[in-house]
Amino acid sequence: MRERMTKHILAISIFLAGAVGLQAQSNPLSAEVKRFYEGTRNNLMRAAEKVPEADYGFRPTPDVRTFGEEVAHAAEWQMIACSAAKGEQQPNPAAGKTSKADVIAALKASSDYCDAVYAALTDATATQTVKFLGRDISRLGALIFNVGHNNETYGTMVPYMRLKNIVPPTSEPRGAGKKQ
Amino acid sequence: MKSMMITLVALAGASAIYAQSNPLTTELKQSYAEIKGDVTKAAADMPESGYSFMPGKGSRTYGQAVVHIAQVQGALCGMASGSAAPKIDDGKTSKADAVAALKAVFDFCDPIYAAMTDADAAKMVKVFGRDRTKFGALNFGVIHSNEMYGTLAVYLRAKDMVPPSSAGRGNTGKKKE
Repeated sequence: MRERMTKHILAISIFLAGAVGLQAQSNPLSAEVKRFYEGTRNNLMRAAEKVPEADYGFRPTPDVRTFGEEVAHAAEWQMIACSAAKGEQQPNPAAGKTSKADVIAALKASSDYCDAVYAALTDATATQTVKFLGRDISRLGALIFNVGHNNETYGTMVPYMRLKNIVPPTSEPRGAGKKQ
Repeated sequence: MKSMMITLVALAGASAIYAQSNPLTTELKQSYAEIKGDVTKAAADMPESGYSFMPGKGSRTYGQAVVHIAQVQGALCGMASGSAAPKIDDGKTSKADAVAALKAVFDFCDPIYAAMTDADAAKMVKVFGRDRTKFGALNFGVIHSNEMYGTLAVYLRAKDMVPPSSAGRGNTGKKKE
């Protein structure tokens, strides 16, 4: 388990090390949040692509979403959080979508939208107040919420993949070894 | 999603003066408190017999997952603060040991998160050998625990249990995880 953790930490370190130096120096907090976002965005997309269409209707137990519904859920909440951070409201890109192609397209649409919002973030704009679900929150807070929610949703997808003998994207370098 | 909604409500209920002067770290602290509560409750709710359960080949057991949360959370708090994190024995994955490990780590982390101010947020610390902000190190702890909580929730559902963040909505219908 210690070896797994070390590998896990090393992978995370490499992810963190992918920083853009200049941006990070002048806007350390927003640069940090962008890196976290990019990691979770990529993990979600890779998971969505890796699971075959036939398993999009799979749910490990009756009271949870299907895998496809999880992907759609991620797309919906990315759009909710990022549009709130931008100061506007955008429709759910995954509404009524169930096929793999459609929900992946919705996830991509929400990520494309979010990419621009995170790209525009600076440390100066991070503390500005925005309305999120009717409440006042910092712009950075809304975007961190998105990162946390993305990661939670990805963590939820992991057992679905393991139950279908699919190695989750974050465990790929270690093959089928244990991870989540 | 309920978990995240509760976080928002908690965010709104923050001490206004402190939040105004430290908006970023106030939100970070509330996110930490929320995920700490969910993870702690999830660890407590699963019976001992479920600690060896894993839903698929290659997965961690429930006990291993709880210990993993403790290890990573403790390591990040240690790096953010420059102090030594509690040593977690990753071979001890019984419910009693895993719950104790989690408690030890949260006890260690609590004052580190509590001491954070926005003025500290951009200070650089070493995170796994790299220069990162203190805010980033502690936020990493929160989002890693978010990820693992998402995993624990499926294990709980597989054992016909309602995850803490869904408590109150019964055991039917779709939910967040």
